[in-house]
Amino acid sequence: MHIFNRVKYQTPESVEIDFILAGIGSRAWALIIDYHILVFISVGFLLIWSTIAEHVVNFWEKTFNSDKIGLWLIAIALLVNFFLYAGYFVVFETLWQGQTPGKRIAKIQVVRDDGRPVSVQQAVLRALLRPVDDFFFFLVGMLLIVLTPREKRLGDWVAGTIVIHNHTATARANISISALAKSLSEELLEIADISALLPDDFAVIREYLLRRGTMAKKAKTDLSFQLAKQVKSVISLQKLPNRVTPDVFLEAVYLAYQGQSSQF
Amino acid sequence: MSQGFNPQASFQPLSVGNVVSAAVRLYRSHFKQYLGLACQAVLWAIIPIYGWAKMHTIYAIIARQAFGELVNQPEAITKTRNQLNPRLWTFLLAQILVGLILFGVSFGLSLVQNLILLISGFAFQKYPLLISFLALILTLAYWFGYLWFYARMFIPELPIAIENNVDAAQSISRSWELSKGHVWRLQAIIFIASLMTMPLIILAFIPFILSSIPIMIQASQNPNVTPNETVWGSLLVGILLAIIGMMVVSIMTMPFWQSIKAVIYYDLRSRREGLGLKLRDREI
Repeated sequence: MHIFNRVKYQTPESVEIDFILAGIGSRAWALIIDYHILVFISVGFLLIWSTIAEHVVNFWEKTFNSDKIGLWLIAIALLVNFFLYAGYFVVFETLWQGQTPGKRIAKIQVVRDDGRPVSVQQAVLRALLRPVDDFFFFLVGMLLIVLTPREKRLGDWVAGTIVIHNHTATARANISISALAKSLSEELLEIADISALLPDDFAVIREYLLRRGTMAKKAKTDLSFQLAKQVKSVISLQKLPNRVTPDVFLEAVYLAYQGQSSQF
Repeated sequence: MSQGFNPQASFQPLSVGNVVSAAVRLYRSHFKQYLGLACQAVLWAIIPIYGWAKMHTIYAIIARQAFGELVNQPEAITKTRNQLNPRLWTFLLAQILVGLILFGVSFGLSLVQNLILLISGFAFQKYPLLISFLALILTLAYWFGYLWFYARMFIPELPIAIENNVDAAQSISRSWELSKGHVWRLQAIIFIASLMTMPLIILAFIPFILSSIPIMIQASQNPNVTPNETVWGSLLVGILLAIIGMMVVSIMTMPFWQSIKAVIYYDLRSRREGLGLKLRDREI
């Protein structure tokens, strides 16, 4: 069972591109954020508009003795509101390479079926069909995304687009390494068989060092002890040169592994 | 590069949206099985106490099945049943405890809310706008506070179902401990998932709304005439349809929620306890 829905696409040059589709959750999350921003914008606009309109209507009545302007102002407000709604998605998706503020937060983006960035044409088609997909509390679009293999809502079918996970590499937090571990790592290269560690094992140690900051205290203690014990047997280390905490030991192994590969 | 997105390969924690997507995919790939279990659960719900305990056990069975899929160790349904049936009363007790705590929280929060409103009502008698604004803020604060507790006690059945020898009280503290520092994420997940189930709930109520139209029309046209039998009849049918509709909706959505809980549990354990970080042989 794969958590993520992957699609493969072959370009005319027979290059295979691998996408991870955004998934209903991220798309719903992005839409929730975008619609909140839109409601905020459109309420703000209507408040300003109605204040201005009040003055305009008063002025018009006094000068021309006619009250027809009011209806016009309402019509214009509705029209502007529609353009705000459609324009929001069109402008952002075109300028931000298939992303809106919501999609940015949810880390997803719209691309064409073949992976090229979307242009105005696709963005407009997607925006115009949005009301259809939103029909009955988003049920139409939601069902289409959940049930079709490429997670396409109507707008995506017509515009020829897919929504995928954004591939921007996540900023890697630095691993803080104590001075004690630095000196220990040099010793480890001498006395232990660091090359017995596989890249997979190294990945686990690295992952632990990256994530230990947010772990629960007791779980962290248990886990670091277990990992240290396993690593110790893998690198066939009989006895530590001096007593250190499992964390320091793992930091040292992490450094030693990197140091070892730079020696080749 | 794409490796980084596969949690099985690199143990990466999941984003808010991916928790929901993963739950949907889990549910979709085991649709018939989970739906069948959910039907049994709803039928058991008719019988008081013992039936309710059975119902919560079946909920937990779905969650454990889903978790097994997530850690790539799917379990036969009969094995899950045999494992969880003896824990029947623990599941019910945990739910009762959570219910009581949340009731207390809700009571306490609304007490504070109304007290503040009462005092400020006296203090700012001349500014009704200010008071209604304050009331709005207080209502939001109430929901935020309530959801905070709700999120922290969201997954007590998972520790009971998956870990060994966890009693009802411990299960709640496990849920509490795991969710520490991740409340806003859980709130966002619960929010997204609730919105996704909303159309179904509204759909279930449409027959009821339609059936109440005749009585509304009659009441607005001649309020003095008591509604006749056909009008009452249509309303009664509407209520019946709404009950059936709600049962269908709960059968449909419950496996979704249990899958979400399983993914949350999996995600929190990998974040908080480094689940899966093990050299070579990787097991639960």
